[in-house]
Amino acid sequence: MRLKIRKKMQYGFGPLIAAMVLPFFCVQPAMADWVADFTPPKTSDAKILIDLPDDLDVITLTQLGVELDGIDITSLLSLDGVDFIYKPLQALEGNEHTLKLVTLNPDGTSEVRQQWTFTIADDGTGSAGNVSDLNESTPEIEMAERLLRSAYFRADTLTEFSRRVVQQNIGHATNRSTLSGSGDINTGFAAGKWTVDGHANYLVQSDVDFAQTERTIDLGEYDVNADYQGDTVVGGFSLGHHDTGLETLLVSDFYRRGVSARLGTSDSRVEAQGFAFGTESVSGAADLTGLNSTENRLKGVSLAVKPFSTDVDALKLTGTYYDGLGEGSGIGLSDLDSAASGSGWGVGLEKSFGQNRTRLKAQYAHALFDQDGDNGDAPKDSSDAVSFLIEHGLFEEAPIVWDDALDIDVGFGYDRVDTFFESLANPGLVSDRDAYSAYTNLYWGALSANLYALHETNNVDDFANVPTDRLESIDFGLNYAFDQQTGSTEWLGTPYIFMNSYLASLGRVKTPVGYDGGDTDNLSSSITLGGGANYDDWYWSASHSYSRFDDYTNVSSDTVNNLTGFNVGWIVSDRLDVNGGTQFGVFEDLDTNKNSFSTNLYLGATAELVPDKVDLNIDYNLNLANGSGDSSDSHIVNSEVEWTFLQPRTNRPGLALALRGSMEEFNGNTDSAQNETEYQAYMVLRVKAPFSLSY
Amino acid sequence: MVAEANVTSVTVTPQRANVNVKGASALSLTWNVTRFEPTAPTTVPVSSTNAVLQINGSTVANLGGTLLKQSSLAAAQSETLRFSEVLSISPALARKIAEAPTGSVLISRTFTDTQTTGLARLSVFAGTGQGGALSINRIDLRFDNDARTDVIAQGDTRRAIAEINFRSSGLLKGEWRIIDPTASLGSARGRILQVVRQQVVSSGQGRTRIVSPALPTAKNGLYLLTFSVENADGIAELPVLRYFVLEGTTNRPEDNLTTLSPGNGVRVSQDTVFAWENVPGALAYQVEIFNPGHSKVVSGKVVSAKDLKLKLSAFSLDNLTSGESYDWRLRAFDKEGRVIGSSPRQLIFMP
Repeated sequence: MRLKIRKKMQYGFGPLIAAMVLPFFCVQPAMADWVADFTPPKTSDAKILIDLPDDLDVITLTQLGVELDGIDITSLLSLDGVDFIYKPLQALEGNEHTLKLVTLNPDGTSEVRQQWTFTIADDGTGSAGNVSDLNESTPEIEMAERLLRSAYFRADTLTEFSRRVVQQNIGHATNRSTLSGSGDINTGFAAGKWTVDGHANYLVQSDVDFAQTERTIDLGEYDVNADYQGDTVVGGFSLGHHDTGLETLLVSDFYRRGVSARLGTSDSRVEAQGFAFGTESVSGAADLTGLNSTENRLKGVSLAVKPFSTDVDALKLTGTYYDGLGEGSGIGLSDLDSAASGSGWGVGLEKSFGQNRTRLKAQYAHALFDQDGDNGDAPKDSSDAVSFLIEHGLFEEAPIVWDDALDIDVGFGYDRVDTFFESLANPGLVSDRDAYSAYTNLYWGALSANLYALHETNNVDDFANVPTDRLESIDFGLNYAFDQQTGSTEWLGTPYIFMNSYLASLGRVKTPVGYDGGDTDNLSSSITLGGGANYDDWYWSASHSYSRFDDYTNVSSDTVNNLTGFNVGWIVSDRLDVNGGTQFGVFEDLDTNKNSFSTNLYLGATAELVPDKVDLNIDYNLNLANGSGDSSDSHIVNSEVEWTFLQPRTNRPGLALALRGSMEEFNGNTDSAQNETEYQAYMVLRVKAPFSLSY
Repeated sequence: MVAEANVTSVTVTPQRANVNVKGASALSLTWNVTRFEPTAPTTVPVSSTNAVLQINGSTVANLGGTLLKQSSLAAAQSETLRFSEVLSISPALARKIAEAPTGSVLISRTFTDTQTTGLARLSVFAGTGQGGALSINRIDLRFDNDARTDVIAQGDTRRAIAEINFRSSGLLKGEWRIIDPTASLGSARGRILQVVRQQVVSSGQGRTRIVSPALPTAKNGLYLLTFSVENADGIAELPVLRYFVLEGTTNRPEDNLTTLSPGNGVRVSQDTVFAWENVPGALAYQVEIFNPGHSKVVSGKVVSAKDLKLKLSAFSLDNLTSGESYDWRLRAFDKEGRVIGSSPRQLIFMP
């Protein structure tokens, strides 16, 4: 008997259904010769349908896979009879797309059974004229050429006029009427071998006391990136906020406004980069390049070379140089030790063996750094840093254990950073450490675990009058994601668990004669256990952390902290989401026997009261702090009701009217002077204007 | 005979203090001045012009400013006046202290009630952070896409990251605090988004990274976000990030999704499991594989949000060339098709 699935019945598709269905039918072997039909989607967000023969048997169905633009979409296919249907997660972009129908062979191999291309026009419509069966000789270059001549501009903007209609006890004397807003703009084009992309945002705030840069309208952050992709040479430049991508002792995680240029060979044999950045974190248009101030600017170069080959194990040598001066402060940054001048050079070596199985990375850097600037009294320090890391995968071929691959990596590192080693382009670097570390990572199916051990001493510059301490620590972490539960444990949904823990001992290695600055001998420990589960329309998660600090010198108090958290979210319907969370913490000072308690509760809801017309957001927050750390309890309610009377569409602004406000009630408990109720409410006229142009 | 009150004693807490070898330090001191009035009632000023830093008996620097309080005493009455101050030790002074002979560094203050004087001193030692309470000396606050001023599409998932440099060890007590658009035009307090209690340790100087929960993006308007932390005496002002939420489609989250496996650089096969942490509101997760440094997807797989892991199909692996390394990342999509999560790129190797 041949299984025939009735058309128009929708099923989720996957091995699970096949496994459930198969035992009830006697199924004949798959048909060898059949052809599927494909009709391209009429619009960019329409469903994609592959019309399979009506008499296709179920075994053949379960042996098929579908790939769209390189992505295996089989898991999200649904069945309309025996036709495959896929609803794209996002509207397809306006260019050519490739769809493949693949047969999965029992031996684990696969072969492309049929393949189609289709085009989505820039206006979002599909084109049947471009549907074709691709073969090996399809001139894909034509497609590439079409893609290379494109441009786009997209902007999302929101401007709102708000007027305070009621208030009590609010802390700031703000303007009663304000204009505020923002926009996010993306643009770019591709021409020939050049690709240029730009991004910027801006903020509007008529009450300049609340404006980021004390200007009513000002630029936030922006970046422009131009890339040239030649046959033998690649290059480009960046302007605005960006990161060089360098991860060295001298330059790392350095995201600032500035300029950089890069040039190299297309096989990555040679990569050179020059850069100049402001050292402060800035926004606004006043210093558009970030380089206006000579007092807050650094510049540098890097050169990476693969001298012998460009294969995966190739030796890579990197050299870096920088110099500059300035403050490492600004928006989002507060630094006690920020005014400085510095320069440095460094070299790095990367090499792997056995097709990336063993990886070696070594770095050396030399820095000149004056921690209070050239005009300060502190001397300019000359210092060095060394970093060495070797990693090795234990298995050349990962063994299969219970159907899952088992991978174990081990690594060993050594870092020696002089006491006064600093770099303006790596401001968060921890110096004054001589550290040996070892770690192992285990990956087995959905289980991942890691173990990290550290032995570290300080006073690297060996000051005779400064003690030397030693830190020894061990960290262990574990994560596991279970399969979606079925049968009697279906109520568990798709659960997951995690655990993080560490133990750290800090002690004294050497105490100078006559030193009376206190001893060092303490033990820190911490463990966090957590888990959660996901369901079709809701989720929950919970965690508990226990931390303990024992100071055997009694300089500081011994303490214990417990913190428990719970979060839950529920998609009640297409028009209503609710979520909430709570944290409860207990801090115990074991020396003074004083305890403090903190409780936080959050409840929130988002509702579409009238579809496409009226939306409601409301949340309630409770913060309680009592015990020895007693402070005011607070109850805060935030809410907004928005009536959209003209829905925004691309290139057509929309209008909405909103009533929003908040109420904050503080209860001082024993201190009634702290009792206070604040509230404020605003009427808001909102203009939402998305723009999009492309060709 | 003129009535004469007496400064009977001056003490300071603590009696010994550590300054950091490198960088500026802040010393919190409390001076306790006890006066006794033997005869008639008087009101006199009790003051000290500055503190003095001495090395081997020689004055190296004057620190702090004038401390002044009025003292009113009846006959035969005594009282203790308490003066608290925070002294800043410059990097240059810290270096001098570090290079001075052990035990030779003192900070003193002389208090006078215009008639008598009294002096107290504390010993100062150099260290690299140990022996003292936890102190925060740098806070670097940014969003998970590195930006510090951002415009976020409504409903997108975005987190903030606090990179904190500290000295010594202890329990870091912090709070993510946020001011919502409903209140930002008049409230300076905000609400607690999450309490953070994290035990941190270092041999002197340390660094830790604290990731915020998903930031609220349900309401249009301006949000202000900060990470307030105790033991940040040296930080003059807590950094504040601002982000504006609007309805839009052009902005995309970056690097806000945590993957659990495989490890970086792993040899990929059909048995390799890609696993990740849950993103609330996700409809589907998509693993995407790229040639290193490129943005065009060469292979990948999408699964529904019920799954927190997947294995690549044989035909997905067929898109990869043996002996080549690739970048991969994971993205989460919501029911509207918006990307609400994205992981940093990591390396895999096709054997």
